[in-house]
Amino acid sequence: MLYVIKDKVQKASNDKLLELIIAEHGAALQRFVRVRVGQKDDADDVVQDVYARLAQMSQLEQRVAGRMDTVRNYLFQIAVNIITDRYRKAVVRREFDHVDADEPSTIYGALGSTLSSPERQLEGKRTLQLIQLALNDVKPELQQAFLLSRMDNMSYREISDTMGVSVSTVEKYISAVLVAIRERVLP
Amino acid sequence: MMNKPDQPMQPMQLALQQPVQEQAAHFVTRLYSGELSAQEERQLQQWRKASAEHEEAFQAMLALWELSNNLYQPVAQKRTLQRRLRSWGISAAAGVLLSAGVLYLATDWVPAAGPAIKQPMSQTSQQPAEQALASTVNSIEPITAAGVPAVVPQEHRYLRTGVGEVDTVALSDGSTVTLNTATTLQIAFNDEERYVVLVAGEAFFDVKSDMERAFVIDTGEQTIRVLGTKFNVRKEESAVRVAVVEGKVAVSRLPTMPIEGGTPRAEEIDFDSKDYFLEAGAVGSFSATADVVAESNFAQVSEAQSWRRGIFRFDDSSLDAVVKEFNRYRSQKIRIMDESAANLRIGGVFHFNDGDGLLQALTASLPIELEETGHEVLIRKIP
Repeated sequence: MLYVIKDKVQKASNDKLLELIIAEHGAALQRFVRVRVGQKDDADDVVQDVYARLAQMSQLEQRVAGRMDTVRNYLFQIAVNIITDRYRKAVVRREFDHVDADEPSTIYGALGSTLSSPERQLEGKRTLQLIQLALNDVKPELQQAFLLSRMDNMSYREISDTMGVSVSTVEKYISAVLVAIRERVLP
Repeated sequence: MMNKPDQPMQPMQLALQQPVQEQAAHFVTRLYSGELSAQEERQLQQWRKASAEHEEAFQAMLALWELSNNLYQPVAQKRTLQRRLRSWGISAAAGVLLSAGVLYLATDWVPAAGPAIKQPMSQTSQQPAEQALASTVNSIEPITAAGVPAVVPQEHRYLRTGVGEVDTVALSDGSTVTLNTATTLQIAFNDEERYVVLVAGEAFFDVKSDMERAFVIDTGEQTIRVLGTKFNVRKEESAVRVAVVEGKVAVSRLPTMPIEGGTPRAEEIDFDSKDYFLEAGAVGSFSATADVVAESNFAQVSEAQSWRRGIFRFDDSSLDAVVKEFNRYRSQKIRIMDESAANLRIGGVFHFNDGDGLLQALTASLPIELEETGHEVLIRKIP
C-alpha cells in the first residue's frame, strides 16, 4: 500500500520536474534532434518520445538532483537511442521488402549499426578496440576529458571544473581525441 | 542553473580552414555541448550540404562518438554474468576458503596499507562517486524498468596514476587497489557485480570477499573473476600477466562484447570451457596466441608485486629488460643505443624512487656510458 501512495506522489513530482527540464533544455534538445534527424516532422516525434520516456521514469527527481547540467546529456542519450531504434526498424523493414539493404546508406550504417548479426557485432567490437587503442595513444589530459564526457557523462562545464581548464579547452581536447579515433578506425 | 556565457570555440572562420576531419570533430563536440547556437546550427547544416565528403565525415564522427559510449558497459552484461557466476561461484568460493592465507605466511609481501614508497602519491585522479545519474545513463535500462526502485551500492569512477606514481585507493566495498605507474582503471560497481576495467598498466588488488557480488576485472581480452583474494594484474602490449598471492582466481577469454545494451546470447558466452583457475602462488600469462600458466612459484609471485614496496628486483636479466622496466616509471626515458649493451646481464635490487640512483648503479656495475639529452638518457657500451 505504502508503495502505491509513494508512486503517486512521485508521478506528480515527475510532471513538475519534467516541465522544469523542458523549460531548461527543450530548445537544446530540439536543436540536437533536428541536426541528427534532418526532417522536422521526425524530429518533433523524437522529442515527444524523449519526454514520454522521461515521464515514465521512476525516481526521476533523485536521478537529476543537483545535476541539471548533466540532464541534458541524458536527454541526448535517450534521443539517440530512440533515433537508433527507428533507424533499425527502417532497415528491418527494407530487408523484409527485399530491397537491397546491404549497401549501408551512410558510414553510420556500417559503424553504428546495432543490428545483431554476428558480423556486425564483431565489427562493432573491433571498432571499440580501435577506439581504445586510439585513446591509449593520446595525451593523458585529452584521454581524461574524453572519458569524463563519454564514460562519466559529465558536462563540459563539470569536466572543466574537474580538470581546472576552460570549457573551450575541454572542447578542444575532446575534438582532438575524436580526430585521433577517426584516424585509427578509418585511416 | 543557467548557462554562463562561456566562450565557445571560434565557430566558423577558424573551422573552415581546418581539415575535414577536424571540422567534423569540432561540430560533433559542439553538438554534444548542448550549447550549439542557432547560428552554429545553420553553419553546420550548410557545411554538411556543401559536399558529400563533409556529410560522410560528420556521420562517421557521430557514429564513433556514440559507439565510444559502449567502451565499457558492464551494466548491460550483468544478467548473463550473474547466470555464469552461479555455476562457477560455489567451487571458487571453496577455493578461496581453502587456500586463503597460506601464501601470506610463505612470502614477504607487505600489506597494501603501508607500502614503503615515498612518492607523491595523491596524484591519482579520482572523480567522486556521487554520480548515481551518470552510472545509470550508460545503459538506458532504468527507463524500461520503470517502477522498480533501484537503490544499489554503486561506485562509478576513474582512477589514474601518472608516470612514476604509485597510489593505493580504498574502494566502496572495502577492497583496496594499488595502482602502479601509468595505470588507468575504470571502476564500475553495481548491485550485482564489482566491475573494474584495467585500461592500461598494472594493479594489485586486495579484494574483500562478497558472495553476492563477484569482483570482475576486464583487461580487454580476458576477464578475471574472484570473490575475495589478493593478486596482481599487469597489462602489457601483447599479454596480460596475473600473479596470485592469496585465494584463487578464474581467468577467461572475454566473450564477444555486447553492442549497445544487447546481452550476448547464450551460445556466444561459453565461459566455463575456457576458464583457467589460478591458485595461490601461480603466475599466468595470457596473450592473443598463447596462454601459459606456470606452476605455483612463490618467488615469482612475490617478485611480480615487489613494485608495491618501491623495489625492482632483477635476477640475471638483460639490460634491455631492465631499462624497459625502469622506463615505465620515468618521464625522461632511457634508450639503449647499441645491441651489445642491450644484451649485458645484470641482477640486483633497486629502489625506484631514486631515479638517478638507478642510473648510477647501472654505470657502476656495467661497462656503459650515459649521455643525457633534453628528454632522454642514452646508454652506450664502452668499447
